[in-house]
Amino acid sequence: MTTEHNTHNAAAETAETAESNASNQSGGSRNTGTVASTTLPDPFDPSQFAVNGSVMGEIGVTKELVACPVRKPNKQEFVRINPDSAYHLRACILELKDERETYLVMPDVAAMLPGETRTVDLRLAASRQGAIFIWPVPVPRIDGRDSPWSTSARTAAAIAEQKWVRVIANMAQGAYDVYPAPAAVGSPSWPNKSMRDILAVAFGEAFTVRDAGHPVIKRLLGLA
Amino acid sequence: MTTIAMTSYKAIWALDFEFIARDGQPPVVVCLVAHELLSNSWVRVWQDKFSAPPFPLDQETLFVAYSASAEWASFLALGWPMPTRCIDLYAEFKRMKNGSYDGKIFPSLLAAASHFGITTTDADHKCAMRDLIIAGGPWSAEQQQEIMDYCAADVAMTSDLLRAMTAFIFQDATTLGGALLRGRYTCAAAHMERNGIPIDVGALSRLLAGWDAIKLGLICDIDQHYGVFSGTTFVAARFESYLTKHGIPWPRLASGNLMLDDDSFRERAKAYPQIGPLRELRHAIGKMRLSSLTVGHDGRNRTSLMPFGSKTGRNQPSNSRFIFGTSRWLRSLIKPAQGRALAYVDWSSQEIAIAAALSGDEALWSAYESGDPYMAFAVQSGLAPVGATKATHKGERQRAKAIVLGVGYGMSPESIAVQAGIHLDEARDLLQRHKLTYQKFWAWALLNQNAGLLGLPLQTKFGWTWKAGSGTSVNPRSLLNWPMQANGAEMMRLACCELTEKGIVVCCPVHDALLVEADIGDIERVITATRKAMEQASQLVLGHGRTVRTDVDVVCYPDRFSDEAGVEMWESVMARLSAQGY
Repeated sequence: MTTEHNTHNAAAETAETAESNASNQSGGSRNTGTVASTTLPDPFDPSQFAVNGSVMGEIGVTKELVACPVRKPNKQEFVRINPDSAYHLRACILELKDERETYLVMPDVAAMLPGETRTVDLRLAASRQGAIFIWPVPVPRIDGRDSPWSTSARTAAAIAEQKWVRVIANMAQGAYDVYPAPAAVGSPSWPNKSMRDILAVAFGEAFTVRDAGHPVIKRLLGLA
Repeated sequence: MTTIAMTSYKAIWALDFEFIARDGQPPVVVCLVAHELLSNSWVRVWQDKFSAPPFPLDQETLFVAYSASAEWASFLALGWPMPTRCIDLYAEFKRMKNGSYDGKIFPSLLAAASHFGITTTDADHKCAMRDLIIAGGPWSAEQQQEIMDYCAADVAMTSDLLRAMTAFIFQDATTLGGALLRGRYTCAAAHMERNGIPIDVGALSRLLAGWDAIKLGLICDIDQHYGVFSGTTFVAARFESYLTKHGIPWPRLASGNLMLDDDSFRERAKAYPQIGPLRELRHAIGKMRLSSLTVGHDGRNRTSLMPFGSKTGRNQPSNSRFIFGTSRWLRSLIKPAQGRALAYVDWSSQEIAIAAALSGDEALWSAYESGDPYMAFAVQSGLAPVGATKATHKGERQRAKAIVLGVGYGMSPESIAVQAGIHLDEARDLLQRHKLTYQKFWAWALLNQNAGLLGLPLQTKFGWTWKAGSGTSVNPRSLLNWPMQANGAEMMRLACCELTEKGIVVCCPVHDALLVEADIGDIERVITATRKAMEQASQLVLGHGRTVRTDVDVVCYPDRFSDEAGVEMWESVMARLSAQGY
């Protein structure tokens, strides 16, 4: 057996810098009492350091904006809505259910398609996992005959301006269940882009209807 | 929060042994290198110079290693006592990164060191040195020096890793206590890995010799009840016909084809036991690698338990090397030696007890305490009248059981319906009854699930943690089950520590059970001690004096261990071997 000392000083340095409040620690030992036995946790007496509750801490997750789907929150995610009015746009959209496509329609074109488009609030939303998307939140109907689905979606969106919420369809209730998260869970990292730029990512030219010459409009009007 | 100073210990030793580990055999120690971080002193011991431990093993001396159970296995091989304070940096690194990645990972020392930007040993050099060590010697003086230098490089890396993780481990008394407790378990794991499991080597030899010869006949034997094989080939279309004929619902792929993976067979076999033998047969034909089972010269199955290998912190030994990881019928190879006995002691409905206690749901705890949580749920939810029993309301109990077990895994009404063989409407109704009956449990479960989806860490009673990393896929259903599994793992570790420290021969943990061994005349005392340790461990995890009950199965020589689901297959195989002269 050989014993040696060398010039690896990092350990001693670390030990010195780490030394601080050891004397404040409580603990015991089933072995003979010593200085350490009164200051350090004893693995043979785990009740000393048992924790209560199964949830701890906080982390933040971000994601690069490379795509921006237009969709409702899915039931397995927590979402926030950007409360800044600059990221809130009332607009007309056209949804092709079979194709699962959503088009942004300019107001004068929408007027040519009664019943085909609907007016929504396009809200910039983020999931806890960092996914950025546009949530088309239904706006109140002019005739006041709103469905519970629409009103509960607006309620969820309003809460999501302040808190993380999980939105789950409750078929029996005919409305969304809304689960706000505990308060201190951080805020999303919003993309450093204007709403205009984000909408450009979300819809692109192909999914933006600027005039009646758009192929989708021609098809809907029976002109193509 | 108060950081604990490393200098609270009189000495902190990072250490590493080089050893030769043949399959199923205890390690043969080659050398030890240890580094004391506070005084910066080093110890190097070659295999012919070992005597007493070159350091004190008291509670003022902290030991640090990576995958520490292998180091304590070397302690045992040398006849040294276990250290009283130790930390496994593998467990702590795994805890730190648990959930950060999708899939299974076993971060090596090199990977952990690289994560912190620590200079590491060249991987090729590491392989070359491992080969030199495994060659078994004799080694020249120069080679001995090379081996010890290589070992010292790993020790230096371990020291650096501890320094890098100091803030994480020494954060406060709670985190350090948890790390020390996990370290304590690595000592227990070393004991259990050394003990191993007694195997009937005669029967194993017969199997190895005759397996290929009896395989076709075996298929014919078992397939006569199913008619799904053509030669040694499983025919999906025939299986589909069998399912239709017997009214057995089966999960399908998006393509519409039947899901034929082993998990699907295992799940279906729970609801339809007649599927069990077919599953065992398919597994035996397709995946069984008898030769991989690691059995030592003394007839004991030994392999690394891979402590903390799973995200719940449970052990994750190799399925092919560990007898309890193979097909169930092969468990009949477990047989105590002459004069010896085995006891399989398991916690009764452990997951339900954990869910009830940690959620604080008194109705669920009362169901657990009744001794039959399934019947209790049936009564509590109005499915069965007060006073109903397993004998008087078998059907109701069966449906209640499907729900009680299913919700623990976050099963949907659709899955429960398929699992229990009931209509979807009934499954929905039963699930709703469960939610209404155990409201506090569901609030707690949803809290855990939401926290996990939010990316907050989940933790056990003694600090094992999991949190979803950025970009990982999170299965909300697994979040429901994680607290039960991970706290169950804490319970198992505590019991293993207590028992191995008392000198009881624990062969291995098996999920929520322990296999212990003793002389036949001493087995009752060992069972009593084992049950007591398991119950005390449950009290530590559950708190408030709550206890998880235990059940026991005893096997005395000349009998063998058996698993109910594998008895038929075992008997068929043995009969065929005998008939063909093996």
